Amino acid sequence: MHRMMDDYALLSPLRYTNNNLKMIIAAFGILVGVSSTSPIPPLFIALCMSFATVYLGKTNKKVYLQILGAPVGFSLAGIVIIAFFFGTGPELFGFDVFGYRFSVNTGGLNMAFLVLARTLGGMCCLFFLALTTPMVELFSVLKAWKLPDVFVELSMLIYRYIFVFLDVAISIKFAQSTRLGYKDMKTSFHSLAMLSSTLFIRAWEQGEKLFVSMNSRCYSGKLVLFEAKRPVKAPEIVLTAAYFLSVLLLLYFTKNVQMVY
Amino acid sequence: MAILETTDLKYTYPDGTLAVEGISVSIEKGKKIAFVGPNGSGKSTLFLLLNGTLEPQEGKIIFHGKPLLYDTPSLRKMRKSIGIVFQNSDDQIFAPTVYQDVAFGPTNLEMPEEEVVAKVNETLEYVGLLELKDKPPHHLSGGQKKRVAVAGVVVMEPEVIILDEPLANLDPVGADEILDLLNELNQFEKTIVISTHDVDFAYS
Repeated sequence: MHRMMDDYALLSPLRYTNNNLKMIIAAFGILVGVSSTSPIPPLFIALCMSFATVYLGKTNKKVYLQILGAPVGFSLAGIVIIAFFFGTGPELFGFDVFGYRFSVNTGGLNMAFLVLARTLGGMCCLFFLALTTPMVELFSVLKAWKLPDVFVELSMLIYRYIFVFLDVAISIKFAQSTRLGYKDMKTSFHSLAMLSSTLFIRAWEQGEKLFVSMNSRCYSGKLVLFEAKRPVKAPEIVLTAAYFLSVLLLLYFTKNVQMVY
Repeated sequence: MAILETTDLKYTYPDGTLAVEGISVSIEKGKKIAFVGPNGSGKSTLFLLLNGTLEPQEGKIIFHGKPLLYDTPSLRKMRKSIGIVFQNSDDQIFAPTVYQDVAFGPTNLEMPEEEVVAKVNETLEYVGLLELKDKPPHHLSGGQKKRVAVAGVVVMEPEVIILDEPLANLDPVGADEILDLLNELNQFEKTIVISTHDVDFAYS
């Protein structure tokens, strides 16, 4: 069974820290990253966030790098284009293709580094949040943001039953595969159609059964959510304050620092 | 002393299948009762009739000497005292974490919050799942899920606990644990009603 990000979040010890604090840290990192003119603050943010995720959140290093790989890969492809086609300034290097000059100038290279740094910083902040906040905590957050109750209750039920139906779908798929249900395109479509219709019917039946069992436990129409109170602890505040301060100082002092001149 | 009785119960499903007919049973307080029968003999239907989910075409359910009226307050009162644990735990566990699922019952019974917290923690410790209280149900094994389902019913402090095929899909270790739990609950004067098609289990 593949592990999803939610599973890692559930195993992380940082799941018990205050959600608002985590969101403020992540939002701060993203905002500073986006407003910085030098690539150094976002890179510093990326470093801090990664450290927090891997060492404090106890996420597996290899898994973290794998997850980070996707957006970084995209961004690398993008910055090559930026480096070659944007910016002004003295040319650094280039080459000719069929008489057209492809060159990288200082402005373009700086912009490329900046974009890479910002992407890295922003993604690390986001993954910090995603890998330390499981879905079950997000329900309390949704409720605190005054989202309509029915929406939150639906989310809770859907979350729980995604896994139930995932198992059913996987079992049906295996059962079909062992009887050559996916041997060619036509058969595959047919099998897929049968799988989806069965799944739909099972989902409906599950809803009926759940209603009976909830009634048997005196369901009164409201799902009251039990929110654990997560107080913010002193060391967390100190660490966060130190982090914010160092980032802001770095932002101020590296205002005009670029990678190449 | 009979805590739950039925007189001449008859129920037919909407599609015409006759499920139970002429059933008169008397369940005594504090006893362990097993309904044994082949698949499709109407055991689950009987249980749903007993807790008021289904309304019989003929016959009555008599609880504590009074016939069951099918209005909401009587049904609530009855369901507080008669808890059902269904055969498939996935039919019963719906909340994102174990703690929230077990807390569902007492919260619906409008107990004050501190009391709910205390009761839920006590029940979770009783079934041996206190360390797992923040886990989502899809991270649990079959036996653990069954214990969560039982905990969710026990926490409401019912007088009668009905279990539909409690040992289905459980390995021998899990089955033993549930059996011990049921025996212990019976010691606390709870009436246990189970359905099974395992005759040996019924006699144990």
